[in-house]
Amino acid sequence: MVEVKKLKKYFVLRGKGLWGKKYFVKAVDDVSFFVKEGQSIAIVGESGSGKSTLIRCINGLVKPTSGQVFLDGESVVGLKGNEYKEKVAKKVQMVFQDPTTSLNPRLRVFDIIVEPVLAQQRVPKAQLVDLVNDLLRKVGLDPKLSDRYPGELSGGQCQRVAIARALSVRPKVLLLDEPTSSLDVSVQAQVLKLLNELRQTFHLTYIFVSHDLGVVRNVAERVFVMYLGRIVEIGPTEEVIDQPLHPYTKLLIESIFYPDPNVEMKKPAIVEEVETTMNAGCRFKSRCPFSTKECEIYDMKPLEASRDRYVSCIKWEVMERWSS
Amino acid sequence: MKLVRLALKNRLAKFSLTIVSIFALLALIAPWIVPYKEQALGEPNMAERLLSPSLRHPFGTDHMGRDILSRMIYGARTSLFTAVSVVFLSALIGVPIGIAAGYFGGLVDNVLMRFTDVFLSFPPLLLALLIASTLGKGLFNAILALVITWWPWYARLVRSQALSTKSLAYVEAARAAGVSNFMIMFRHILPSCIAPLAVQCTMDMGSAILEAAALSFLGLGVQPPMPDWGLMISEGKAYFLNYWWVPTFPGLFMLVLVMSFNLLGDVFRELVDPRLRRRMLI
Repeated sequence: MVEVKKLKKYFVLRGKGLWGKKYFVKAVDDVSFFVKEGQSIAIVGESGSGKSTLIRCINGLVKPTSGQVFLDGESVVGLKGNEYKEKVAKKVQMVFQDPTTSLNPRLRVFDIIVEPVLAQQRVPKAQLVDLVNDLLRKVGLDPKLSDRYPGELSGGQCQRVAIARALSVRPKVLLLDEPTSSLDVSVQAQVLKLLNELRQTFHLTYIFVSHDLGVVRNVAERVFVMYLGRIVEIGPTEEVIDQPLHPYTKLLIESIFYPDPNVEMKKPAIVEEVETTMNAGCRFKSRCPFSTKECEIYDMKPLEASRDRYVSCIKWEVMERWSS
Repeated sequence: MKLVRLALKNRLAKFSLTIVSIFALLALIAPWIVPYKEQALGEPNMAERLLSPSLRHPFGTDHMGRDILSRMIYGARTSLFTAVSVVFLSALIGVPIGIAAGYFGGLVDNVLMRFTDVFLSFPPLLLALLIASTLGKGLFNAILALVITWWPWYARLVRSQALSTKSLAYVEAARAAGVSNFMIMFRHILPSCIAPLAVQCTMDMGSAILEAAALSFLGLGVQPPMPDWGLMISEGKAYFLNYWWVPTFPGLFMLVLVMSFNLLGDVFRELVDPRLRRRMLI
């Protein structure tokens, strides 16, 4: 359904002054993966790991430096105009992080929801009204809200509107860019439940971006762990969270905050700063307690750890033995 | 339209809006209310030259014996017409250019803004002189000269607004929804420019009246015997010492109207910028 091949996105920055030295930020560096139809995958990683850039490459909001993106087997990189509408916007829609900014405050809920539909073709008004009422009911909102402005709705309601908008063209794939991180904890659970239900009703494929592993466990079947533009671990969600193989995944999972005063918090094992220069070898080596000379020449090629599990670490077997 | 609603709650805004409306109304119904219509349009009346203000001629008569009040009311037409056309035409040219430059960025932005800068570098009066000498004197050429030097300000204003709007998440969301660039500019970028544009247009109305009057004063704008405040001041300046009323009353009218526009623009600006709103308790 969605395939990404050797995708790279480098942002060019300039140093100070007119002739400042150019340097690159490798937001996404040589990422390849495949998502089957109906699957729900999550991309996790700390901020700056390139997860948002990666999904923006999928729907063309960001133009990749190199590499390919395939939707239903068709290459979609760099499409414009009608081709983009036909081959991308009709199939892939996106839900953004903060609904209070991703919905135009000057438009009514009705106009917000039908915008993607009208971008595709002209549709009679009566049909649009039916569509909006139906969608609002499906996302658990009162159809009466359709003539309200986003400013008159709560954060949770706004995110439901954003979801309804994304579903209005009946896409096959939904890209979700931290759809719950700007919501209250109580509302988060409701929205996640809604997303799970909608996936069943509309047979959707989810590509979910999050840094919250609790959320990921709730919605994703598979998880991709990203670190500085690279995918470092792939596997079924439960397995990855319960038995992480990559040292970075371990760090990420240890850093989950459990708000229970009776349990003493374990300090993350690794506290060093993120390496900012991009030398050869493993990206994680400067923060990794297991790194050795070999790590400096390792090209981060994924290794198959078990069936359906890949890890980009040459030390994972050593670590397994060490920790058991 | 939130702006208008807010403005109607503000005393200063109501005051200046009333004055502007009175002038607009006078201009509209001028032919039916002025006491001496033919004189207002330029017919001389040599028997009554330079009469001081009296009941018959509340603001006196000028060097050709014409009733100054009548000519002033007609002059409101010229002034408002000039101001509205200059502002409207400038916005008409500047807004699309500014939106395109801000939204597309990169090369498009560079080309459009350098083009804009060229026009920005024309000194308005010199350009008006040039146009008057090549295309001839007259109101329309004065408007043309003003528009040529004014639209770049609108392009710049709108460009900066478009730049800040285009990075908002809802514009990205519209792109992801497959909305065309044109529709994004029309539905998302343009509406966000309306408030600052309203402020700029109101403020500029006053300046446009002044500049047009300046051109008329120099003999490059409205031509005699048409009624115009700038022209009336220009014609009256020779008589100022002995017959003070000839240039004074048109000047006062202009002062009041221009000041009202400026006040209104100030109020609008403060309403648009919430940080300034606290000062609005006057």
